[in-house]
Amino acid sequence: MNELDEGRMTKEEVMAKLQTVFDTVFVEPVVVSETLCADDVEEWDSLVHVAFIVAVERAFNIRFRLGETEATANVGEFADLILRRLTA
Amino acid sequence: MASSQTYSVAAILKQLLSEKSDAFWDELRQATLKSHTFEELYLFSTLRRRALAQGFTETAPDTVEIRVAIIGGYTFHPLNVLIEQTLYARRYESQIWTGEYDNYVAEILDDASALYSARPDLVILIPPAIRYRYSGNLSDPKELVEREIQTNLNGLLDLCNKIHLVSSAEVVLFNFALPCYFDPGPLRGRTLGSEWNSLKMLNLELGLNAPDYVHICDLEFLSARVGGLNARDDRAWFESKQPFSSDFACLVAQEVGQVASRLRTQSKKVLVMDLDETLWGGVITEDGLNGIELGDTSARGQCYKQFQKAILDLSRRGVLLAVCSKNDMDTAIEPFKDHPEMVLRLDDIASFVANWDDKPNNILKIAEELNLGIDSFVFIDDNPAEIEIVRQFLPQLNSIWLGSDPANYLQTLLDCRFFENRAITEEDSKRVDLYRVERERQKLMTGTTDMDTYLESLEMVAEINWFKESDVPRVAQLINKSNNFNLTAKRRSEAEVLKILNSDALHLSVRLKDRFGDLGLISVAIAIPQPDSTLLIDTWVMSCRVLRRHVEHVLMNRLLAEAKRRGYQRVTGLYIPTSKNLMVRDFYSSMGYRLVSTSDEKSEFECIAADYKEVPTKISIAQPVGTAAALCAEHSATGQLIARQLQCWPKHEKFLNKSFNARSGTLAATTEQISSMIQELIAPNPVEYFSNYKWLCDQINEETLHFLRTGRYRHSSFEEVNNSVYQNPTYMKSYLQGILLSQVFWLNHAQVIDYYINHFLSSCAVDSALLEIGPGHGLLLTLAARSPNITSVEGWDISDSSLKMTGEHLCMLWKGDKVKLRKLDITAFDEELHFDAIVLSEVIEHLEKPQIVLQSLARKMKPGARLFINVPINSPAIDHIFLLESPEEARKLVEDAGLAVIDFAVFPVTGYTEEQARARKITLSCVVVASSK
Repeated sequence: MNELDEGRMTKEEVMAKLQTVFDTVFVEPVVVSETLCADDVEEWDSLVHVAFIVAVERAFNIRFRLGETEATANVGEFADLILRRLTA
Repeated sequence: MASSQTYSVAAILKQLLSEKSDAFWDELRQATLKSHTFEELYLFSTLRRRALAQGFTETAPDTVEIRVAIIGGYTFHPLNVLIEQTLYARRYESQIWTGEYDNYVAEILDDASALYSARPDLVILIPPAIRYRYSGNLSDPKELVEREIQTNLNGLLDLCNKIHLVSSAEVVLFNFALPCYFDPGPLRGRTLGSEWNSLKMLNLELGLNAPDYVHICDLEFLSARVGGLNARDDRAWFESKQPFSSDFACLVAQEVGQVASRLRTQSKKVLVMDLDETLWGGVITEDGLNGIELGDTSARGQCYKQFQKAILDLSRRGVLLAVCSKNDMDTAIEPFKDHPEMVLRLDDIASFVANWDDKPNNILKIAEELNLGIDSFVFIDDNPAEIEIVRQFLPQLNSIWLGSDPANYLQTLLDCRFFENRAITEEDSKRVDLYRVERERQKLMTGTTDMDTYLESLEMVAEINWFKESDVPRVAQLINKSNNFNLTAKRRSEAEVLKILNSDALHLSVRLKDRFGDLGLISVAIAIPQPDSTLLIDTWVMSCRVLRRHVEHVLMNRLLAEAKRRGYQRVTGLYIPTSKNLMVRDFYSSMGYRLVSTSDEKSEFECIAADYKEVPTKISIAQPVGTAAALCAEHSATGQLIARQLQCWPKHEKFLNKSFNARSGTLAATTEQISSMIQELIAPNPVEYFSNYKWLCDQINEETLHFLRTGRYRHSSFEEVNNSVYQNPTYMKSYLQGILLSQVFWLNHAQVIDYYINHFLSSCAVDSALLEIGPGHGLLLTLAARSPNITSVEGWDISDSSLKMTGEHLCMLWKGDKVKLRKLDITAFDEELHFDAIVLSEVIEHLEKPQIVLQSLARKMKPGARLFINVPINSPAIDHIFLLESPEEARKLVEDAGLAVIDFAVFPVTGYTEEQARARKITLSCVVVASSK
């Protein structure tokens, strides 16, 4: 179902949608970019990260596997992970 | 659908926020209350925090600050964010402190932990299920599993108790979601040791045993409602120790909000119902009695009937039902009277309005008739237009649109959450009757010309009492539910009321009856002693059902009388204004109090007790004559003894009621005389005496069982008793302390003393000498010493320890020198006895051969001397060895010893007549007065 609905998303589209998730979770305005990482955003601590991941899963209708979000170093890599999960 | 709605609500909120419109806050609150998905609720929280970060704040008058702590076996972010948001939606401004992951036991047990530094008002405890499921094997015996469940239960309740003790916080205790894997199959249900069953039982026990300050958040129920698999998220647990799936966390947060909101708002009292298409299908004016859809013959008819049954259940729980319908009255009531399938009948409806006026006005009429505020009303209708108009004109009232399919009515009503009480009191279920009777009262009122005549015709009787334990739930309910007639709006839990009951505060409750029925406990006042001989009225509430009935006047009269009796010179009263209690602003002034100080927060009034003038009323006061409660209120020595005994043994009240019921005349005076003597004797350590009295009663009950089973006393030789009792100083002390109190509490004991004073001592000639053998507690000896005709008194005993006690008691009770105590054995005493009166009270049942003593007395008494014998018949006690089975046996014993019986009296134990006691071999005290021949 993901493949039919959203499998053809481009990375740009993923990045654009991520921007809405950031707006949902963070109080301060955050501009999404490929190199953005948690250290750049003051609010983005390990606690808020939990809520952020859930919000991403809900927005893209995907489910990450145990431990894999920890391995992404910035938003660009995270978008690639989302693309992978959208197809598998 | 949910998500498209989210977008629109979210879009509106973002727009309102960008405009900094005040409407933002109310929209946000409403949206939050309805929200049940994670992304939605979290977004709402973000928007709120963003608004605050921009300096955009709300002025919400009803907002209350609350400090919350969340602790347990998990991590609590983002749950804390969600809870903060659901609390905000219920007008709480919360500060949330979260405990460390799985550190809750240490946090609770350490008084100096950060948990307590956070000074929480509410502590949310979420224990981890892994620690509380059964730890042994599936095959373990049931008893073993039960023991562990009991241990877990106590462990959890102890933790809650500790929290409450240290912080006074209310505790929200989470129970456990049940596991939702298929494993272990059939064994899941067949053994208590399964995770499923052991947690289920623990949940059950928690619910049944949680004290008042513990609010169970029922995870078992919540997860069953949404499905166990939807409630959990294993990855979230492994990755970040989350307790729940993200959506379930929202449901839990809403539930916590609900618990918190129950702490300050009460459940609704009235359900106002439309008729056509709501209680039945069709329109009664068009379809007629036989045309409406109702009853089990059709699917729709059955559905309406089920709906009515659910409404009737609410009514049985104390919710008042009212009808508000656009109809002709005569047609509208027809189904209630004549339709065979109607579940609701006219008797179930507290107020019935059917006409063609608009509904908001009619609802106001109902409110007036029931004398209740419309914010305690819930209105249901199938017509969205009616719902809308009621919402617009009466925004304080909660309206529920039932929807367009009657199949959903039931769920809509049962999920509305407006009628959730924490406990059901008897008052609740009677309330429906009360209001029906109120309607008759109002009819009566329209028939009488003036208020006084009306009030008189009601024939009201009030019973004013101090709080009793059995009243505590109702008293707490009244304190927490009364808004209008409430001087200080102080709320109190049952535990707090119980504390007041046992304090030196003056607490009074009023029950009211009239010719139409019993209105129950309807008013409460609590006054706390202050320095400078002042009593501060800290709480005064009254049910609005009895407004303008003079209840406040009788209560004030009583409170002042009581204050004076207790020696207070001044009574002060507070008025703390709230949005709802304007009606009592002038209460104290109208009662003749003087305004001392006033500010926006409070006004203080004062009344000099001596200047208070009793207000005349049309209420007569019920005097519960002779009952223990009435005596307690009297501030006599007897009353104080009873009150203190009941404090440590409340269940004894029934017995004491029986015992004091019939005491009047000289017996009442004697009782008071004994009481004040006892009061002096026990003053150094009263608690010990009261608990030993209870212990003694238990002992006697045990001996009675033995006696009824065997027909014999347990011991028959002095040797046996000497070993088990007399040589055991601890036992003896408890026993004698208990016996001392029994002199006033047991009717037969008090009657014997009354007889002793008014028949025996009073007939002693001037200048008499009196001897008591075995004087024990010394009360009879003291009474003799105090008697003017008796100039010398001696007490003899063979036991050193007994003489020592008699001596100590005499020191406290008798200041003169006419009493002499001697260690002497009467049977070994060979000279003639010079005494005019000899007393042998509760002695001969302790002797193996009482004949010897009696014969020896008969020989040595001087001519004309009188002997007073008091001996219990059929009176099992550990140290009674000589059994007399009837009063006649006692008489014969005396006569056989060679004495002439002058007088003879029998006093059965408390609660029995002489006939009953004789027939059933129940204890009687027997008094024989005899003289030498």
